[in-house]
Amino acid sequence: MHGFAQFNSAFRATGAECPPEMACDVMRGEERVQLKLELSSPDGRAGALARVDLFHDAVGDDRGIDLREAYVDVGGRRISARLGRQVVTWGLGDLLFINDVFPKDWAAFLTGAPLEYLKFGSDAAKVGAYAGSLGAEAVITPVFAPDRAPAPDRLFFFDPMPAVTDRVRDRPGADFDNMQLAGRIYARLGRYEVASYVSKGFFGMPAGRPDRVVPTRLVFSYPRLQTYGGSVQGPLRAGVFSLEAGYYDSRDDPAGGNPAVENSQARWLAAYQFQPQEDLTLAFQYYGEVMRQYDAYQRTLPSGLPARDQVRQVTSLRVTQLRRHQTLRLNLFVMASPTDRDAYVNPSVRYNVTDELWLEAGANVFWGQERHTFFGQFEQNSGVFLVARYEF
Amino acid sequence: MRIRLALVVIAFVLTWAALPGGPRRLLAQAPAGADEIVARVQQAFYAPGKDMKARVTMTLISAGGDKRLRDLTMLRRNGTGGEQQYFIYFHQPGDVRGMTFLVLKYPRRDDDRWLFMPALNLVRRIAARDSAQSFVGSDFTYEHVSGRDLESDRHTVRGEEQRRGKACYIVESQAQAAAEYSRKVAWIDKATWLPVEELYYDVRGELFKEFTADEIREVGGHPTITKRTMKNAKTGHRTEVVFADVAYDVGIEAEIFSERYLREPPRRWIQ
Repeated sequence: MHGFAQFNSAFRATGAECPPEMACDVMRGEERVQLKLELSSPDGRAGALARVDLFHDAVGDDRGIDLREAYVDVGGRRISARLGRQVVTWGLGDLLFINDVFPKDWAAFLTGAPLEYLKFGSDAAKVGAYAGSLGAEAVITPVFAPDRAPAPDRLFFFDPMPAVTDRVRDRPGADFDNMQLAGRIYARLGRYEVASYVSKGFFGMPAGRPDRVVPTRLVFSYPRLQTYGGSVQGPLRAGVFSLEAGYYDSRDDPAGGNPAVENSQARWLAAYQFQPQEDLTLAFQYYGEVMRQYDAYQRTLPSGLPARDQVRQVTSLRVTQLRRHQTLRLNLFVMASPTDRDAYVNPSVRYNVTDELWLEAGANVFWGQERHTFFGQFEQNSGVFLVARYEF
Repeated sequence: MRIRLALVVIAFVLTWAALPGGPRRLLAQAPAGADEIVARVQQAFYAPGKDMKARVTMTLISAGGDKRLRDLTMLRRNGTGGEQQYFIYFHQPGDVRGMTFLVLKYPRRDDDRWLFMPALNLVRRIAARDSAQSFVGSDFTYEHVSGRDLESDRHTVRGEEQRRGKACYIVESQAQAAAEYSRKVAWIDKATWLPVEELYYDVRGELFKEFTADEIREVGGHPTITKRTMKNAKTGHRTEVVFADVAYDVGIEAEIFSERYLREPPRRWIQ
């Protein structure tokens, strides 16, 4: 039995005037205990893991139990399966996701939670087949779980129709027809790794559909999505390069004429990381997405709503410096979009006071020329966060 | 064709003879065979058996006595042509518990390294800079853990003497490729071909690291350094390492050293 006790707080530093129902200057004031239990059969062929969080957040007097992961492993040499709630991550981006379509908790990320809380478990079965350096995995998620989107109780975000307060959610039901599938085939070829990905499921973020021309109600649903993609990674000079691409096939709006549903998209990523000196790592990323049927998008966009560009590009730089026998970590992450003219900056310092206790302080700073762009909409959420964790 | 080959050979011999200390070096080394000694050291220190499994505890001790523990299981497998594979599973401290680390090591080339972070279920390939990189924050570098190419240094035998109770060769190695040291002096036990002590000097010729083999045991027919210390002479920081439960030729499968097992650590080997 292992786990941790953690204190985590986050403060808005913009002095924004908040609506009455929003936690304003304090965005998070949370105590959390995680208990982790790991079991294994004597021959190592079977195992189980459970991670359970108990938490209380002074903001909103929010409390509860969060079953982060609970799964059973059955392993053979060629075939293995992991059944139950599990975090699945694949793809090569750093905070940029192309072929990783697994659920994400953007609300936790934006309110200063540790990075591991950006992902949460899928109730899924993962089956893998392996031969040498070749692997094939399928993840079957019977019941759809959407991303946890920013909510107005703590966060500012762009809302195209703030006047329409009657909102309902229409989640895909637990039908076989709505079962989500994701697959990956990967191989190591010499010093290079290649992978291809495919998925069938739903957009993680909802699309709001007004009930009529002068709307009185918004129905949020999760349109169907299929993705196809590939990636390659390998050594380049003294560093590592990564390339990833994917196609987002918007199945509920193939012609692109439905303004409530995301159009199909192609996404790509090129990245390079290297170590100019000991314990200093620089990592660059260039990411882009291009909307298909942009003409249809422009034609059907309701008047008064800001139009997105056809192409969105993002560049990022991460600088990580380790000091004091790797107990002190200085991190700076800068992400900026020349097309959206917005940016996200995340400096942080983490120090392992002892082997058991670490402290982290940092900031999430958002900036944008406009209030509707990806990072720009979060400008008023800019602030600082603090984490103190004792591991046992 | 033959003439061209002969010309190449002649050119090569002339070039080699013209190099500073070329033939002289070989003659000076001939009786003791510095390169041969170092090759034997590398075999005895970094590559005994077909594979190896050990529980490794590293204690990082600051000059003020502040201690940090790194507790890990290390699996090593020798590949073909001098390639090696390492798989590391971290047991302690808590913030790295369950992390796994894969290193594919090639002769005369940078390693390939991957790290798996369990909380995010994330495998990351890491840009490697071999020579001077500290291993998990300790006073040992990656090269201390997994070895350094023979050709990366110029080796010279400086004599023989008793050191730490063993009859030793004294071998001096001068860095020819990137290294954290400019010169290393090692006392090699003639019986086991293991270094019992090493002194590392920086570019200014000052001593900055001292390695000592504090306990050597025979495990499965292979003399093994089961306790070792690396001390930074300038800062006073030191790292003490204990290899426990060492076993050789246990049949670690080649496929363990793959992304699959980074994500699903092989319970059979890490318990």
